[in-house]
Amino acid sequence: MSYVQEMVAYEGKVFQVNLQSMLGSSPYGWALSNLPEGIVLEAVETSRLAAENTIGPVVQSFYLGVTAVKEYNVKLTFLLLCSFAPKKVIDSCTVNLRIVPENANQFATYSDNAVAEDPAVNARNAADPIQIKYGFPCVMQDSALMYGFNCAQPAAVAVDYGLVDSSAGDVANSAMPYGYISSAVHKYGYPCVMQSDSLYGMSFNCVNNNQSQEDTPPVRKTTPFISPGSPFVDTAQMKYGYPTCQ
Amino acid sequence: MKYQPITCVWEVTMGCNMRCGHCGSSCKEPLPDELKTEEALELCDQIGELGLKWITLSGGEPLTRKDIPRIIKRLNDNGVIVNLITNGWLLSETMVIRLKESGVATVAISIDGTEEIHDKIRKEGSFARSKRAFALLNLVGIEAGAVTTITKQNIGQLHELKEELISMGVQTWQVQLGLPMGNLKEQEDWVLEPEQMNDIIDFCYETAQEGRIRIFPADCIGYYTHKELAVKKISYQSRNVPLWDGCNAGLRGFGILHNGNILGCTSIRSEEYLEGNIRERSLRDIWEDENAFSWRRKMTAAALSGDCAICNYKNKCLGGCTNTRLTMNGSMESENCYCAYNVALKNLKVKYRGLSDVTLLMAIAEKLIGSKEHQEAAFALKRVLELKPEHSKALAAKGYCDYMCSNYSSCKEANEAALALNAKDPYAMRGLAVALHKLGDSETGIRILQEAVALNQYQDQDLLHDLAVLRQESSLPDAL
Repeated sequence: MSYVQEMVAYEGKVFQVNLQSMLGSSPYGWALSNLPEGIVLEAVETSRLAAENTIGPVVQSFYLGVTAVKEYNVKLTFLLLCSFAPKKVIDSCTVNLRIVPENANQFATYSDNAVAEDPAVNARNAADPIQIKYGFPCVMQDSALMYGFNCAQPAAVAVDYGLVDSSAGDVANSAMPYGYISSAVHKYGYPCVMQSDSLYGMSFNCVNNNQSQEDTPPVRKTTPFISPGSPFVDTAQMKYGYPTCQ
Repeated sequence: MKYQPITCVWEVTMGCNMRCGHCGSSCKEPLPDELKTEEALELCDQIGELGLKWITLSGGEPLTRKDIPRIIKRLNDNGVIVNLITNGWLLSETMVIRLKESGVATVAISIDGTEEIHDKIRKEGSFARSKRAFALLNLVGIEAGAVTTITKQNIGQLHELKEELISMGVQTWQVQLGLPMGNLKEQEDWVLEPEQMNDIIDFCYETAQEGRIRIFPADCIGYYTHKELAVKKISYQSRNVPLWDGCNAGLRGFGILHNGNILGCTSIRSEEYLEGNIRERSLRDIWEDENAFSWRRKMTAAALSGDCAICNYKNKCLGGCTNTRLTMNGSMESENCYCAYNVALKNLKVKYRGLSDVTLLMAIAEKLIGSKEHQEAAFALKRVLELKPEHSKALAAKGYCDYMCSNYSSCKEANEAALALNAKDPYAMRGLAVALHKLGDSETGIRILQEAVALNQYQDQDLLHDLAVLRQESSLPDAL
């Protein structure tokens, strides 16, 4: 069974695709199989659906960035496959991505009271130390640059990301219906760390028959480079903002 | 020196060998008080001493002055890059060689359309002469430019004209609006409609993208569209082009008339805007006079009217081209009807007047706030409040959007209305406080913010932060 979903992303912003699998409890997890020109994979995060469960479904979050693109309708394909035997593909999910061009708005964004969204355009404004620059907290440049993540444009992550659930006809922040493997095969656990494969240039069979399930790391967790909830560094700027959009 | 001039336009003569239908200066015969050669050369030295980087010589027809090569050379010797605007009629082989020897950087010929239109506006045979002049300029290695004044007479021909200019080897092309001044005042049916500004910007964008000729929209064309910024990036060959800071008159540039009168802009030339004459005072004295160019140097957004008064960019552009406003409405403080954003604001008013679903309007507004389109969000919220004046969420959001658009009085009003519904709303208190601070009443603002902080039992770090910033900016004691 394969899935096809529609999604909107914004040029110059980060968006997130969440897919549910039994990775960790099973060797089967979602993998991104193609990156169209102009789309970059920034980070992957795996988190448990229920914090107290060591075995059970997880959410795999793929953080993707839209760089300058030429094609505004692209496809992303995710495959649900066995991590140590990638040819064992048991499902797929195609995301039809519609990219909204950066300059869809006719006019340059500007406010006397915001740190410049575009330092190149608003250089003079941003450089003026006497201005009050308060607005949404994440508009603060320093924190954005420190983490290498342009948090001046959080809307794509905080508000607009997610897959459109075609049944509900609405945007879902976390697209849970996918990849939930109902068969019994996923009770094994999945001990291997993927980089071992490439280091030794050989297929490394992660399933160790002598290894008890207790020895198995329950879920391979990666520390995300970015997170929409990253704390922002305080600066001497006011933070009067409009709460519904944070 | 508080202001460092970079450039100026010098109308070296009012004499002209053409009688163009759109001439802004209504030039005819040279006037008797024109600067003599020695006076002009002395002025060249003063221009160099003042530190100008480049100058544009125009007229009248500058080539009708016999001493023009000497003036150019003197400016060049003073380290000033010289551009010349001419109608091209007198650009003979001999003249082009003399100009080359004098060190001129660019010679731009005014071209108003394809041959038929150009000759109709100017003089029979002038297009053919310009064509020959471009060939001569290319031959001797002087950068060839064109200047086109756009009116209803030629706006439909811009694509055709572009091809003509490219085929003639023109490298740079400045386009400017024909405003109803000078001779064009008598040709009102030639004057463009404000909505046509977008067509011009589109044309410039398309031309810049093609990369076959560098196109420069004049300061009267724009403002703040992405396309216009893209055109500047391409034509200035720079990746970092800041948002335009408004009229340069009296800040970074000035104008010189044929008789040595100094003014901010050669298009704003009535007596009240004359700052002095170099026959009476030195150029530096005039420039550094703290009372000079006060119409521009002391201009503030607070004086603007119409839609310019509520515009998000008002502190940036101060209404844009001053001459456009003066010519169109008779007032420097009036709104700029040729501003692309002004046109968009008028369209937004119509758009939101037609919507009456409060839920939909709120959804639109919140989406717009999320994408930092505060001005349009404020329009949507204003409409909500027309339909439902006591919509507390709309009042709070409107206050925020008004703040982001620097419309502090409106921000204050919205937050006061929100507080009338709920006197203990910390968000509205915060909005009111920052609005008051911006309006100059920091003391009341700080007091209100302190109340908001107390209401939140000192738990809201952002409120505390803002309180600290307000105190810091107002230099009021912490005890307040």
